[in-house]
Amino acid sequence: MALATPAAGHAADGPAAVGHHPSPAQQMQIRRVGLWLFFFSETFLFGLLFSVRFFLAGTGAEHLNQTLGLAITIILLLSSVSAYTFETAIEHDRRGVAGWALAITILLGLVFAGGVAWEWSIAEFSRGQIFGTAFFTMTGVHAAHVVSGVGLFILVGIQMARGRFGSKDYWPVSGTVMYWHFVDVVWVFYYPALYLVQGVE
Amino acid sequence: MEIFRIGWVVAIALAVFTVVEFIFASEVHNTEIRVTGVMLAGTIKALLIIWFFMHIARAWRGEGAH
Repeated sequence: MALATPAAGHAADGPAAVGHHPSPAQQMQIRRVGLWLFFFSETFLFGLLFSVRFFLAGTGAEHLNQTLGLAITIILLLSSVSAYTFETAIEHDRRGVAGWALAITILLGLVFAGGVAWEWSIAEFSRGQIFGTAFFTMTGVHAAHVVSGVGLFILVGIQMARGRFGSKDYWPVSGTVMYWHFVDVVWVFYYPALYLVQGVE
Repeated sequence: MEIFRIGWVVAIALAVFTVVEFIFASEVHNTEIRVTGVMLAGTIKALLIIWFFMHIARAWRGEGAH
């Protein structure tokens, strides 16, 4: 036969190629690298908006509620600490701590999203103004990521309540937590770009 | 609680650099120095999160405990 079966094709690669599957450790590494590549692509989106803010408005800005901006920044940073605690607890089979840490992370994420919504409602500028265009786009895209992260945490929580995840099976937890930290890193740059570069009176 | 210690140490560092950012924004009147200061503090915070919370080293080292 001129056409070989897939199995025969693999056999032609040599004995080492037959039945080769990545080890669990290799699979985990492949997943991690894949997630980092996703973050890399997301960086272009967030980086574009970041540069547009300075291109359009320079370092100038409209009046923003500094107390609210600082408060939601602290809340998001705290949520990264609780997310780290959640991941660490799962990796060490501390399910009780993991449950609390997950609940706190979800709560803080929702409070952050609520804070952004509040900031939108009290903003003294419109989306038609130069700074407003940058502000509403940057915070809107970022808040959408926060809300999707909360959704992922809820899905992970449902799976955890059904008995999944532990020291031998924690990739979904790790991936979700890494996503959350990435969203936090974006805010670490957005907060000074939107609230601080023009100075605080 | 030893396994969670890194999280709290990083949290304290993040708090310190957030305060540094705010001080730069409120006390420094030179725009270039202010922007450089707040962005540098933000970059350090991001690196702390990427290194300690996102475990970027695991991407090429493979498995590893906290």
